[in-house]
Amino acid sequence: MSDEFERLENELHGMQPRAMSERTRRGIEEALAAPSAGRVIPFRKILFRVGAVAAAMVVITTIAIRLRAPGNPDAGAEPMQVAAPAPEYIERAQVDTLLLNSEDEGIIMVGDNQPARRVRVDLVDRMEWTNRASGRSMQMTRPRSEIVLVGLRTD
Amino acid sequence: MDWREILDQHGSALVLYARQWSRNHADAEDAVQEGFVRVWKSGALKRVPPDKIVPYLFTAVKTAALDRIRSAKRRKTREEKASEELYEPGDMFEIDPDAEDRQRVVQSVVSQLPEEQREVLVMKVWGDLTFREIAEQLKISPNTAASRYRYAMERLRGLLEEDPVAREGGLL
Repeated sequence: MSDEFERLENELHGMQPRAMSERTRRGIEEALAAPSAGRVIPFRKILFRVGAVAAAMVVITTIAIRLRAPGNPDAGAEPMQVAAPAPEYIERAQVDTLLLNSEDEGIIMVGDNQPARRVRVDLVDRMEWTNRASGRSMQMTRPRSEIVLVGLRTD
Repeated sequence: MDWREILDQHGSALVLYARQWSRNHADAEDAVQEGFVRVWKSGALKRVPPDKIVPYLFTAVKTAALDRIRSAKRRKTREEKASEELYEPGDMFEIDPDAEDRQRVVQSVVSQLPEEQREVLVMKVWGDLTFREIAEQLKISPNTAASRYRYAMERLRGLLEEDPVAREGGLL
């Protein structure tokens, strides 16, 4: 840079960084030779899916809250529609989903040599049904994990 | 450009660069492998001019090293395992036995530099990048890159002035 630092620069240039090991070199060679795997989900599609799930959860949670709200004229008026019809005296009292953890698992190479960020999302679905006749309730929790691949731009 | 040729010429500098965000030499090598393979297989380098490939690889390696830090932090949080004790402060350079004392002092003071200065120093001295190339990769101006280099040299000199081995070895 200048005469001011010449001796120091010469000393630094004279120091050799530790060499890369043969193990790493072989690892790179093997990785470059290996075919890519996986599939990229376009980001727009992911946004659409996440948005659809979020909207569904908002609707379900809102209905559940309205049904449970004390003094609500609608509370307990109509049982929710479910995929498998339940007896009329069984009422779904609570439905929600908790986000436990989301973890960025780094970038992976997927089809067409495209980089994608792999994100693991851990969720728990909580459901509760109440028997209005007996007052008994049943709760169910269902843990699940989802892997989301977010396509990355490389330009 | 053949990847073997790049590794022959720049592999050790890339490892030294990754070393700044890695606990030890082995972790730094893993970061280089991840970053190198990632960009090579992505095809991104096809759009990079040949003379920009090496600077681009420095950024790819840094990204991989930082990704590894984030993963390590998450593992630590989950498993409550401390990893700091595994940090090995030395092992950045091949120490010449004829100049061992002096080079160990230099290695030590280089590791004490602030990250933003050390990063520029490594890219400039051992990566052989120009200030313009460094600036492009770090998204700073060439003047800022040059300033950080100058601050690094001044700081190195200051730290070495405090060391009797460096003074006696005629480094200053």
